[in-house]
Amino acid sequence: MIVSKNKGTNSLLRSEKKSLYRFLILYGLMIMGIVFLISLFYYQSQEKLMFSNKRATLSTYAYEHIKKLKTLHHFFPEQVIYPRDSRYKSAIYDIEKQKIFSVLDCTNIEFDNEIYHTEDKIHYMKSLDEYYLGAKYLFIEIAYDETWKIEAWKTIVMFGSSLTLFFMIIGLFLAKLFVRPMKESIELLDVFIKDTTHELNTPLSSILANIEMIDKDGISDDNKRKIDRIEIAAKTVSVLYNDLTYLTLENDTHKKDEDIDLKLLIIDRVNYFDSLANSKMVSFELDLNNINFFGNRHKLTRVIDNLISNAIKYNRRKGIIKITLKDKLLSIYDSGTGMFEHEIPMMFDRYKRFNESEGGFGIGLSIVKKILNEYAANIEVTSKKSEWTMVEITW
Amino acid sequence: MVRFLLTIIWFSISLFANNSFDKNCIKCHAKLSSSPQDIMKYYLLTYSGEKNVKMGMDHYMKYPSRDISAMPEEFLSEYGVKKHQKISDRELNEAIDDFWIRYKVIGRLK
Repeated sequence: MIVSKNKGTNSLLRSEKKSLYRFLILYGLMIMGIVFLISLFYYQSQEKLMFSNKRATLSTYAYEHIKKLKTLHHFFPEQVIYPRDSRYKSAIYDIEKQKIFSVLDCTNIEFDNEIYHTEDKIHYMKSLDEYYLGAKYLFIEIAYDETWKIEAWKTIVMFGSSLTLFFMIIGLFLAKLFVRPMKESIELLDVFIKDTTHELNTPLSSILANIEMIDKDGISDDNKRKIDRIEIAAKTVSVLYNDLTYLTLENDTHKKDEDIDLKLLIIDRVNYFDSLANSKMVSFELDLNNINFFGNRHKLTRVIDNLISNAIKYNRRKGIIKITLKDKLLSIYDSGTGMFEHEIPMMFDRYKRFNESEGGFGIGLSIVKKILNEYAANIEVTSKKSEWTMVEITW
Repeated sequence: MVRFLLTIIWFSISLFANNSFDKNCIKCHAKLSSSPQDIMKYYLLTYSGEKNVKMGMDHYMKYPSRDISAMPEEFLSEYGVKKHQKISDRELNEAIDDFWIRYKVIGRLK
């Protein structure tokens, strides 16, 4: 139905990670928006500043040119040479926006803007109070120097990068603040488990040792059943204890890797869980080849124990568990409650549980995946709700 | 003698003139100190564009008044306000068009 491959296990759950990513994406977009707006305002202000500087110069040119027009108006038609200047080019238009005379390079002019630029020219439009030669509009044209634009872009890139970097650092700081409560709650749970685990060791060992020593032949059937129940309960707690020990003291695992006969190990663990399986009338079907695996026995035991324990816990009464061991494949099938499709990707998250009716902390599969990651093994889970679950490990 | 000569000139122009401006306007304007070109410059100074100039001139010809004249005060003091035009609207429009074509600035600058 669904395949879930190895994924890194973090102290944060998937939903929390999702919230964190959403926050970071939202924050990143917001920062980009802010930087973009600041850059835009800066660019526009620089453009206005450039126009402001040019306006002063062009206004002077216009004033000088109007005086020349006045002279020409007075002496027209004896003088008909339109005044020209090496610093600028000009044109005059009447009140009906008809061209009277023009020496402009760019004829694409705008009557609505006082100052504007085309591709390579700046135009300044001066409206005349007295219409010399009929001219209402005087246009002054100079070359458009784009130096300001290069400088503005340099500043935008430099300050934009610095600003983005600054905000990203703030963002990371905020993200840490955002995540801290989640981390603290998980750490608190870890500390609690660690402390509890430490206190479980002695009484649990004592219970299991004493059950082993009881001579079951010399007691009544009724008492025998009671002893069996105590044994099952103690073994269930023992699996939980071993998981918690692994989880809290995983860095203290001193045992080295060795060549392990997986068939023998699985049989040993099946025997261990036999009484638990019998209590639910669950039967095992084993198809085991002789396969060896080079690894840590303690860790592999945790993997097999957790998978068998889950297969029993979530099985129906009189159900079956099929364990198959072939070359580079270990599969455990149970005829149990199964899972919904959407639950499968989250089943390896620590403290994640889908069935509250069964005991446990929701740490078993998190440990399984962590150990399999160490050995570069893949785990795939397929399931059908209310029918079956199949766990396949390949390496 | 001068009056006789001017009368002869006007009579000759009228006789050979083939447009409304020459026929109806030159007679009087020949006596003025400001040439038609000068008058055009005053009109341009006041009205700027072709349509504006023509409309201003048309209005002044029909309703001459010191207040709406484009000419300077000195000119009006010396020659006064012109009399009401007695030519038809069509002739007046033709005369103004002729005046514009003959004395406009557009196309004459170099």
